[in-house]
Amino acid sequence: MKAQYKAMILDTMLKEVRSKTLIFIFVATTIAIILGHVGIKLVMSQLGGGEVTFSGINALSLNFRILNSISFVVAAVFGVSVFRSDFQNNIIYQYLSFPISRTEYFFIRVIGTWFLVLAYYIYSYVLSSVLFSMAFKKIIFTPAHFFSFLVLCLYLLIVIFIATLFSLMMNKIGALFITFATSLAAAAAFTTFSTIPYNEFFQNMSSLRIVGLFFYYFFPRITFLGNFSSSLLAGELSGLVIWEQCLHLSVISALYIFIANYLVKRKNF
Amino acid sequence: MDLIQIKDISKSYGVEFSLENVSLNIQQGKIFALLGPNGAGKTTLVKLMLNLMHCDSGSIEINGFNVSDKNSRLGVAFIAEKFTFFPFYTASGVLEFFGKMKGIEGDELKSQVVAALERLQITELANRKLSRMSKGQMQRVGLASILIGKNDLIILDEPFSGLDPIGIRELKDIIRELKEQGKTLFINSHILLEMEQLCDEVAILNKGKLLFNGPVSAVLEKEKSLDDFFYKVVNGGRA
Repeated sequence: MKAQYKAMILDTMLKEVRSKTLIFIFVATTIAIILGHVGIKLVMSQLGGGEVTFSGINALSLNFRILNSISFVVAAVFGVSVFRSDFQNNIIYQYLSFPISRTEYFFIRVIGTWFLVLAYYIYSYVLSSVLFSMAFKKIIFTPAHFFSFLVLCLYLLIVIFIATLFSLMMNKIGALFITFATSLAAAAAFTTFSTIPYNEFFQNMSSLRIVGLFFYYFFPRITFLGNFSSSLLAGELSGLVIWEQCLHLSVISALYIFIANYLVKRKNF
Repeated sequence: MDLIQIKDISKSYGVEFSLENVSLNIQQGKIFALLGPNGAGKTTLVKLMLNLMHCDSGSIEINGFNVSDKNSRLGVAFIAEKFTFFPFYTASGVLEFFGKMKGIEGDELKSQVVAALERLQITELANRKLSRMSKGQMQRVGLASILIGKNDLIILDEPFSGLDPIGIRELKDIIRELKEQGKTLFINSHILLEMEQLCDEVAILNKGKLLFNGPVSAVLEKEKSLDDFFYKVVNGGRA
């Protein structure tokens, strides 16, 4: 990797790591995991042996699912802040006077933020795996946990890109609100339309259904990734056509990334 | 040889022109001053040169590359009027980061950082965070950054702003040293007396229009001082 890229990624992580939000999430997560560990030890001391291994894996999966459930919020909060501090403090003037293109600047800032969010998740996963394994007195981290984490990594990256796109069009609070609102609408649309055949899409049309179809087709299907990550933990893969969902996710996400990059390239500072 | 070629650039905000059909050629190895009253369009021109803004029409080339090409910023150092960077960096951290962004690493980078801190007489600030520095100290860190890397073109936006008289004197010495090394300096400034002493060429902008562009020696043939010339040109139209 070019020295420039390494320096910029490290710079991005250093500026975000001081975020009060990250420190709060980090401390709260650590406390929650430790409390979970203490709770499990307490229950284990009451139960004794029995279905210990099975329960251990399930307990860790449940813990990961809880961690995953806040992943959207963590990624969105950092996504809307990717460029904010550069723009607010006019540091962007110094940054863009270096021999880097705006596209490089855009991708490296996003990837640096993604690495930071990943570091938080790796820490949370490792801490809970170690503590839960200690509580159950055997290693309970399985390949399913690992694969679920890989899917979560992609999920986090796409959420950061979506939040970044909205942050280029409005202020931080507005961008955060729109990211949450559109993602909720898209999740509802995904739940409604992903399980019904195409020929039923246009039956009983109403304005709400039209809005739902809009979100189903023109918003990255991050709900699919979130559900897929959770289903890997539960060991129950959904009946969805995975390649079709992946294709849609790839195309629409690429479109969002293209628009966000275009906005950065065209922006006057 | 022209290092910077500005051809017929215009930039407007709404209906008002910030720059209107401005053309300039700046030769390599010269100290060039861009002068003008507030709102003349000086900062807009610098932003266009660094691709921080996009022209409505016309083009700017640096080292033969259009400014939209990142190669145009190879060997370019820029310091804004108020140097700012993330407050958690130390002075040496900032200089190391700037060096890495210019492709310098390892011992070479370390020795350049030490030399730059010594040249600006801020060695004692090496490990101090920017958040704990005064405005003048921050500006010195910014100025030290122009000594990092092999910079052929140095763009200084109001470089004397925030400096005390000793700082101003030292900066003038640095500018002269850089010129002796064959560097080109593009200075955006209000301080006409300093510019008269330092510069080879000047351009005067007012209300987005280029009113004068020529050598300082030619100015001093017409008027007693750059200050008098500037006043006449800005109040009386094109020279």
